[in-house]
Amino acid sequence: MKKFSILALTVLAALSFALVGCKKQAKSNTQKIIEEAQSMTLEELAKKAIEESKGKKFYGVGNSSRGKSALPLFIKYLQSFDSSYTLEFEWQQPKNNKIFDQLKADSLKDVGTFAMTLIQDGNQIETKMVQTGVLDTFIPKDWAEANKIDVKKYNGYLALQTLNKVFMYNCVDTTTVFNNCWDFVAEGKHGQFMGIDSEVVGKNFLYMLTAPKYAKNLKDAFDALPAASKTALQAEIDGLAQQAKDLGLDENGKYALAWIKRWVGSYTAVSDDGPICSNLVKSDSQGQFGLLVYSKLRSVEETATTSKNNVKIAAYQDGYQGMGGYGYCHYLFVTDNSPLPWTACAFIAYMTCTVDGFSAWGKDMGGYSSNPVVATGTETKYQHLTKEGDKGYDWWVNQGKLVLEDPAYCASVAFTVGAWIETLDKAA
Amino acid sequence: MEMTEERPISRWALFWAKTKTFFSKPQNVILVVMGIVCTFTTFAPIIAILNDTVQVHAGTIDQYLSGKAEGFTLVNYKDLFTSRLAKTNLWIPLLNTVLVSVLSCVFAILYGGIFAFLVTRTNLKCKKYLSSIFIFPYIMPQWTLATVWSNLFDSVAVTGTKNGLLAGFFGITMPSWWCQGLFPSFIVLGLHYAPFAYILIGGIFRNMDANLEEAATILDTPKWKIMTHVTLPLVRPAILSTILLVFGSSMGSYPVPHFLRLTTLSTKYLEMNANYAGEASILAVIMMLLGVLIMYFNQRSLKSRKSYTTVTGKSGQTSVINLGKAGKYIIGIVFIILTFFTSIYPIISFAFETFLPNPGDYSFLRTWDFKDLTAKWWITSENVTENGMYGQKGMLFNSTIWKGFGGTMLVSVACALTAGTLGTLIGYAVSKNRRSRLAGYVNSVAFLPYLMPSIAVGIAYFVLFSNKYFNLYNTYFLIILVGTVKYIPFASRSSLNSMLQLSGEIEEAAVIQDIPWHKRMTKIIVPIQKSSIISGYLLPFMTCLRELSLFMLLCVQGFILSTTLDYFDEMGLYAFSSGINLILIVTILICNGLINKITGASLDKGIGG
Amino acid sequence: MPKIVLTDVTKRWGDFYAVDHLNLVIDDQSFVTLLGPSGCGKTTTLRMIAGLETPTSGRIEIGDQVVFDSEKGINIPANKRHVGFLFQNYALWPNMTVYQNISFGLKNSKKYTKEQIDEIVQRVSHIVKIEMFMDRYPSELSGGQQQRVAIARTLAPQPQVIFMDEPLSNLDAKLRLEMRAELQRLHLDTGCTFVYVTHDQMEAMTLATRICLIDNGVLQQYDAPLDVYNRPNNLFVADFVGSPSINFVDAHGTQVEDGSMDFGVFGGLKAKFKFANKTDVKKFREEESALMNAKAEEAEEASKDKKHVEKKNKDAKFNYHIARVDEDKDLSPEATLDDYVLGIRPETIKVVSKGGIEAEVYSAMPTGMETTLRLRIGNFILTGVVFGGITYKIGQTVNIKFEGNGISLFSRESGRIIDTGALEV
Repeated sequence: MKKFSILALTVLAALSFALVGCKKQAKSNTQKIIEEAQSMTLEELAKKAIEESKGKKFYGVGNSSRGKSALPLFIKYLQSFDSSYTLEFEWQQPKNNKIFDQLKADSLKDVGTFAMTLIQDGNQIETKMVQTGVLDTFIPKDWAEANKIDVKKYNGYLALQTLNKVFMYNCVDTTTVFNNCWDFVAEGKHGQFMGIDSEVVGKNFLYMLTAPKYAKNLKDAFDALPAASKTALQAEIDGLAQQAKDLGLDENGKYALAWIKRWVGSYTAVSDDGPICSNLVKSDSQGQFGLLVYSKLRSVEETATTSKNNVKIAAYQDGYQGMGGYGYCHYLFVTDNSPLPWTACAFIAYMTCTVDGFSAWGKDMGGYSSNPVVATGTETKYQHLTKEGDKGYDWWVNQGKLVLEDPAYCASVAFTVGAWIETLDKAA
Repeated sequence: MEMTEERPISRWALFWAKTKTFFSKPQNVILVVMGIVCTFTTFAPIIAILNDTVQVHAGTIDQYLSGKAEGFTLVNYKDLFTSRLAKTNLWIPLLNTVLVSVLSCVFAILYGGIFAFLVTRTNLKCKKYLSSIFIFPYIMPQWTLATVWSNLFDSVAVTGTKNGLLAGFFGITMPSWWCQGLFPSFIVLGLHYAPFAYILIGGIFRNMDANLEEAATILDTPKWKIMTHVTLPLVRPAILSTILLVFGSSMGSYPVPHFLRLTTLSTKYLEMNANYAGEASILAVIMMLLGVLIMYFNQRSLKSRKSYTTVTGKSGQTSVINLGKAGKYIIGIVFIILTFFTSIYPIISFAFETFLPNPGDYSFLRTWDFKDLTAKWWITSENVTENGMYGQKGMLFNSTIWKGFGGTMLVSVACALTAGTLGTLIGYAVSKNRRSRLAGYVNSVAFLPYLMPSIAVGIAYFVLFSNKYFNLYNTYFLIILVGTVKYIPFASRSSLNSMLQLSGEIEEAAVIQDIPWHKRMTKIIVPIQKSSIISGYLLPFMTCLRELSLFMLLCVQGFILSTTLDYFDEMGLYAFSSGINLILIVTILICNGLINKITGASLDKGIGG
Repeated sequence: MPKIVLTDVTKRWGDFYAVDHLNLVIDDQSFVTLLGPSGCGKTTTLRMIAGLETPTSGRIEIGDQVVFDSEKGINIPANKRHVGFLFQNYALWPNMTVYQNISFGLKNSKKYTKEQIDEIVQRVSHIVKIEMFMDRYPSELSGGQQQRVAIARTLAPQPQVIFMDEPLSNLDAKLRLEMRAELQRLHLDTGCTFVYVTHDQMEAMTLATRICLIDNGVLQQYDAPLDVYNRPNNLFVADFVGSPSINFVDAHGTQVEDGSMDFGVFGGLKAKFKFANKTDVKKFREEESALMNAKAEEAEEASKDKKHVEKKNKDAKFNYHIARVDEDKDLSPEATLDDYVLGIRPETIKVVSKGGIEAEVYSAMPTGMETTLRLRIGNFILTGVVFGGITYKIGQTVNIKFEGNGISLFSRESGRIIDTGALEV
């Protein structure tokens, strides 16, 4: 045993020495290219891309599998300029939180494998990818124009689309009514939700609740509650006032903390939104509710015990008060050591600035393009609003009071509010 | 004599001559080569993880606490052990891990051991059927039994998700401790690993000379005393091996506790990986320490072991214990019912699931109307997004699934061949040099990866091979390498176990006759130990087929079948995941059947045939 | 040709010495048995010669070839030593038929054609009479048949030396006798050198041309069987060989002028011991102490060497046993230079009609051919064997004499033999 450990220690010392990484600091080539590319039109970018990547292989990595469907469309688009253009591609979709490790590992190389990425969870992107210089933001000219943004002053990310998770409940038992977002955390209620530890982006939702705007929303919703419900909650909310102060939140922070505490203490963790949806649409799931991706409803097939009509969207109901759910984004980045930076920029511009480029997502409901022009075009083409009863991004943000992810805010409270959340008791 | 004329030779020449002699024995060559290889494959990931515990991870707690953007810090240790989260993040998961591992061991050994005894030593009925059906739970991916469990027992009233079969059709709601947490976790893991106990313990029972027990019977020893003083000590090595294997596996199991909502070190590891990466790595280190501890105890009891040579080349006879006229049927029926629920029912429910219109929608059982069933999951041949197909083609036409299947076959066959061969050689070499320290070292170091949590090994290898010089992510090479390292213990254990049973004289008899090593192996050792050696190949093969935890962080979904399965499972496409399960089970049954036909050995026969 | 020479061979595991500085020469065509109690190192010795075990130090030659030399780093592997080895458990390959078991080794050497192999298998199986079992598997044979197959397999490659490790210990008594005879015949027929390990002194006596008696890893005596029996080197050898065992009698006295010894024996009786050869006890004592001093010096010298490992299984003085009625009392006082031990073989005790000393019959066990008597003199008991079917009554008084020149005299100090001679009481 002794020899064993001595040997182990020696090998340890040797290897850890070798493992201590080497970091680079210089202003990167990619950043220069991006600067140039931001003033170019899609066509100009396309030509650059053809020049750069003809006959080569393109690696992309993303949280959404549909990058794989978007790439052939992009290639077809490039072929409309140069019919002899070919591009091999591979689109990887790592599991869990793996995408961050993978991008980080790839960043160690002089020239990376991945040309770009499509990625979610603003908080981790900010702290692990952007602040460390692994990923660079590229803002296409058309997108900036459509959003009326001055590229030089803009320091946010480029979002491909916003996804929303909304409160839904089983309505087979008609006496079940949820007309205030505080009803979801009332005594004895258990919502179904993807665990915040398995889907980390769920934590961002809780962080965002403490932001002044959404805390205010919660307070307003609270004020709209009937008196009896209020008194049940009042003591708990007041009890958190000091905590809110300690965490540096404003006077409405206590409402946010109370809601978070109740939610974390009551929700039933489910592995994915798919199963939550399957659970809710059953006729015997009376009184059940959940917070899940809106688009899951499209997968339900009508049978004797299962129906889409068994659930209602809380925010669509008359008189509903407070947030209807939360929204988070799929962001697009160019890797700082991208092997094909021009092609990456062109692909990103194609997805964010054309209806065709967005069609890999746009053809199904549930994702809203960040480009207003593309959003309108997509609706004209696929008509999700008219056909499927979706009320659209604007409605959700304004009337539906969607809680929107703000990466910078999330990152700033991740270890204050975040650490506090860790200490909360979770539902068994 | 010319002795006086001889000059003493130089020390160097003496050393050289001794080295040459040392390496003239094949077992020594194997030991040295495997010693070097295993030192790297085992310690490199350990060091990578240890290194990770003191690294600053951008965007995680350690950066926040240490205020450093990069470099080294010990803050992870401090925070994990002393912060107010220590209980939630460390102690409770640790306690749960130990409990679930110990209870799984106990359950697996009792269930598998009793079954092994009944099958090998009594006149139980339906042995053949039971014996092959018993190993099904091991063939199936771990968490499938867990999903079967929740599909049976979950209820809106207790678990707050959906009504399972029991609640939905009979209105029976089981209490919460029964539905989730420790109890179902260890039952499911125990059932999953009971085949280990059956194979290992059964192998000894099969080869054990009944005279040993009969000798005691004649001395008028009471039955229970024979059991505790003669039989159990004889199967002790097998029980110890089982404990090692089951403990290591249950400790590192991610999917089962995840599905059944028990917080263990491995589920905590994944939970903490995003924001507490360094602290998560400490959890991995703790898991490794637990593994090493178990191995240390195992090693200690091996040292005190008397030599149990039961196969000597002499004929051994086994006697059969009579369970009585009714007993042999009653016990048989009891096991047929038990194995129905653990082995047949999941398959039926998988098959059924692939025809349900919505995941978990059992309308058909209420209406008996075939309109409430669908074949769309199998036969949809175009890319549609509606009807819950999520843009996937039906399984028969789904290139993702069949590509994954091809990848899985490649990985499994390659892992089985390399792990099986290397493991068998290690087992052989160690058994030949039982007293030598090198052998002890190689044996331990080759075994260690098995005791490390799969996920941690996966991550460690990812870190090791994702750097400036190599990037092996998502390559078959990396997956096969990791699989081989992780599964060598299967083969080395089963081969060591059986080699220790084989009297050394059997090979010496051939050495004396100047029969070259490769012939001794191929004509004598391997044929005699055929069954156990084949199980040394089969176990890695089967395990690889449905391995998830180890590979899930090393490749993208669609690369191999188990990640594809997991992908569909998480998406809620239970029809697809069930279908893939079916494909896996059928594949394994076919392989097992083929091997059985060709070699006469089969997995359930384990050691000795 | 194959003379086997062991020079200063030692084998130890840690501080356990299995074989301690063994020197041995085994002549060509001899039949040597390595004899000793269990765990004395005899099997280890055999395995070292065969190459199955590596000595810690020393040198082994087989024929003109040095097969092992620790100083020169020579270690010829077992397979190149061209020897035969018969294992205790036969070690038949259970996956092969009898024919395959015998022919397997031959098939691997390119010397033989298929016909020749057939012929050899025929021949050796004929020698051990197993021609009819050629297609059976070992598990289908009885113990004796398996043993014969093992012998045939050993003989097939025509080794010059055959090693046997307790080959008969797994057989029943009758078969053992039968096989013993066959082994003897085999030795003559083959003209090989046989080295045979056994713990059964009868087997060693009957088979061997020379017996090598080992205790605790140390060679005790290496002589022809009858020499070992008649003139044992020391108390241990005297005790180990012979059945019923030799009688030990404490004797106290001195050498008188005519060269004989005057002893007090059996707690007071006077006895006279006449040496068979002219022996000067004083000289013997001098030699004895010189030898013991030399040994002690050597041990001290060795312990100074850093590499030396002290023998944990220390060589103890042989604790000879004197049969008495009141066994529980320990009467043997400190040994002085006037203390001796007499070794009296049972067959030298004769029952006579008158004269000699009186003894009471303590027990009598007739077998027909002979009768084993236990005789009581005072508190002491002697075992004697008388031939013929005479019936003795328990308790009856008989007169006995010690016959012949075959009584051994040992020094109590070192346990070594001084000489043999005649004893008159």
